[in-house]
Amino acid sequence: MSANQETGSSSSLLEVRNLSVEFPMRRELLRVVDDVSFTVQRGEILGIVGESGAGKSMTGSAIIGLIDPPGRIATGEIIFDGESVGQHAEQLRGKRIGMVFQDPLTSLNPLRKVGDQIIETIRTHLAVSASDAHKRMQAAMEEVGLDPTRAKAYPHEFSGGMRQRAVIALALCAEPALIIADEPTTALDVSIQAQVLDLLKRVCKDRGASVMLITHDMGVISETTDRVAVLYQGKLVEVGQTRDIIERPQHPYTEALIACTPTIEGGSFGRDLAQIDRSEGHGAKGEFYVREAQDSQSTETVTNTATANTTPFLVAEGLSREFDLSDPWLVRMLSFRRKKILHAVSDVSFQIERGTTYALVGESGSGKSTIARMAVGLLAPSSGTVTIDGVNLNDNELGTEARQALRRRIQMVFQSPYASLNPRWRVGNILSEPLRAFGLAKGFETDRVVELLEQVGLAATDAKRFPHEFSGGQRQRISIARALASEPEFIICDEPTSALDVSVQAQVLNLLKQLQRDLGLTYLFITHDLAVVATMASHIGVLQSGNLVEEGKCEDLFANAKSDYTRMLIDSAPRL
Amino acid sequence: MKRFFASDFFYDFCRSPVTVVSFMVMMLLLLSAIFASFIAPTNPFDPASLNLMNGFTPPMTPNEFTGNTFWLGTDDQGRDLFSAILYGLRVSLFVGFSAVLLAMLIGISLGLIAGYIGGWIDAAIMRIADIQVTFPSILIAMLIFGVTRGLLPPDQRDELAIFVLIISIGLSEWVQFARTVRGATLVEKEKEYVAAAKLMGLGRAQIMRRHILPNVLGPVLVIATITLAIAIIAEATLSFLGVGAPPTQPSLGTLINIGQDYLFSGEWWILLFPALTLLTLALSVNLFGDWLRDTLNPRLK
Repeated sequence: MSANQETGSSSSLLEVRNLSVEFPMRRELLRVVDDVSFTVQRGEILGIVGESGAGKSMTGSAIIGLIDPPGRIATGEIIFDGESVGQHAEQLRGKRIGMVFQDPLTSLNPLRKVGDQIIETIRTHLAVSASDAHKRMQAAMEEVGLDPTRAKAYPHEFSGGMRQRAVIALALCAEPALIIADEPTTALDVSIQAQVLDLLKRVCKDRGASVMLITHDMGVISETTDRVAVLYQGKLVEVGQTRDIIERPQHPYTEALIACTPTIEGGSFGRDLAQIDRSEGHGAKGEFYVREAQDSQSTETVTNTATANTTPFLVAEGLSREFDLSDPWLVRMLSFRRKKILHAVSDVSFQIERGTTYALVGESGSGKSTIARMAVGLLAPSSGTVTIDGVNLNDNELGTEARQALRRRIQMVFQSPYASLNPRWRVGNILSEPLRAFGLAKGFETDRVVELLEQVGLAATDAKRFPHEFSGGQRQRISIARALASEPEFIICDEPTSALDVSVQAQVLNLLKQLQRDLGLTYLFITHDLAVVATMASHIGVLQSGNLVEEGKCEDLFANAKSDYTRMLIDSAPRL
Repeated sequence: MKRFFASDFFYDFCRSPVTVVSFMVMMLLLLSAIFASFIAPTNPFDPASLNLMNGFTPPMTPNEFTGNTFWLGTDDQGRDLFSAILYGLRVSLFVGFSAVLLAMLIGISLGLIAGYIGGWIDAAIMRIADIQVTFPSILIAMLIFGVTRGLLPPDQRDELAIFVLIISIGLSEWVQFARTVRGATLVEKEKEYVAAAKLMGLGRAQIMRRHILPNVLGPVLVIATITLAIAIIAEATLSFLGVGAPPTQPSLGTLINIGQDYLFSGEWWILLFPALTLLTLALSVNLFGDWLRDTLNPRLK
């Protein structure tokens, strides 16, 4: 990759030369960063992008000398401001190099007031008086958009976005020349992500500081950075101007990474995303195959043949759910507290046509998962009804058999690929359990399990393995296979790809679409990611704190959203 | 088996010499207890084989009347101490294992029910547990032991003493298991694989037994090892106090009880060897349990 190697000029603030990081494991030497070289210029934002395991966080940790033993820097040199870092990383960190981590809840001390933490950092790094430090603290809070009168608040009194602002204030207060931000917005909602990224950009410009932004999100890179370095399995595949790389990627991996990122524009609905098929298991490390984006058969044709009757498949009417968060009765009486009721969902109504995908979009706390649980019958609504194909889901009159018959038709794919499969069960048992529960494929269970595995692109031999032997994407396939086992008509997907890398996300989304075409499935798709919605759904409902603020056809909604909230969501979604 | 030897678990085990030694000692004691009737030179429970003339023979010295030599000496009745210890070990381990099994059975079931069903059932079970831990467990065992013995007809008391012992120790040690299992169940029941099972229409009992139980057993195994040591010591304590295993079927505790009568009259061996055996057993089980806890609990790493 000699074409991509950069030579450090005198103006570069940070130069990383041939950096390799190794982890000696019991059986092998893991090389998590392999011969990576790049520079960060003064005042620029450099993005480091890659999927999980690409070594991007490790590169950041290596620069500030925070690699956990037994990991070690095997070769290479890090030059900061003309001097080799070597053993001085400790003196630079916090002072010349500030850090912002992913989880703002753990990077602030929960027992100390936010203002005190900022003052402490200022006084550690700068020789200033107490009153001067106090003034600087107030200025720092103002700079990141926090109200200085809230300096006496504890971290838990702040929202996620405010906490991340406080962490940025902490990183800034020693006036560093470089800020390393490791996935600073991954735990945040899109609207807050946009604010935090804007803040980072502004700070970088105002102070002339450089930022090294580590992220997995191509959209964030495109919106924020000046230059970008793409890492794949520990190796630097490409580095250059962000615009150039996104528009004219030189390396096939970068090209594929961009192609498999779903976007709001570009009419990706009805098209399969490009996907990166990795040789999982024994294939040579780093090998991958790119499958081009392709036009899928229009879902409309399937819909037309499948719907002889035009009544909608699922009707939710006036759906509400409250959660009682109040103290026990006795405590309440003694402390004169009132009942605390959380209205998670209030009066939500929508319909889903047979064979289509309806997406519910919303930020955290909007009640989308609560609706999903009510739609499958895991949670009873406080008021309102869910009717599936004319049958009320929460009808108490429903007999055991009728209820079981209804359950068979509705299944769910869950968010976490780790918690959704019982870790003590073999995959074969996981897949045959619904067959036994619904009395299906009696005597042919093993054949059916093999069929299901092949349907989701896994091998028949995988039935003998345990869930921990699979990657996140493969586990999500198993989860889909389990949902398919009972031959359902309706599948609820609750954030099925939010824990996955983009390339794997593309595989799973393509699989879901293909299954919809083949089996005429109806989906209720729950997600926070508008770009995913744009590739998956024909209808969208936008949720805000338990209320359905807007719904409509996908294209209409993106083209002219009526509510301010929807427009804000669309605007703040990062795009390429 | 091959996979076991290649596992991190086995690797970790080999890297800790203390654990390897304690495990070997534990297994040695366990095997000698199981095969006591083949290893022991005499059967200490067979009155025909006893010779009162052999009484109080010191270790490794010939008896002045009969000329017989005993490795660890004999007690007041002329019983070979080495054989008595092996048989006593058997009683101690049997009581220990059975008591732990009983405690596990009660604790796991109640913990699962309390954690999964919740509500007032949870409150009731856990309050009973709370009340029970405010008493020292040995006191509870003595109480149960006393009451149960009182209810039994006098001619069966000695015969059933061992089982009464198991029940009393088992009932006094279930709380730990119930609390641990309840905590783990509270975590597991919120996981999505449980929701998936609910979607298949599985009943509560099935979900608890088939899905949650296998996932809460890890910490239970650790507590079981540590409770085993506690149960063995509890049994010895009860027997030492004279309320446990009867002298006709002595456990290590009974032997220590007999021995303490003679300690100050010069016959030290009657006390020392059973006591050393008990110490070694409890220590090796405890050390192994500690290692197991550290290895199986990823939060400590």
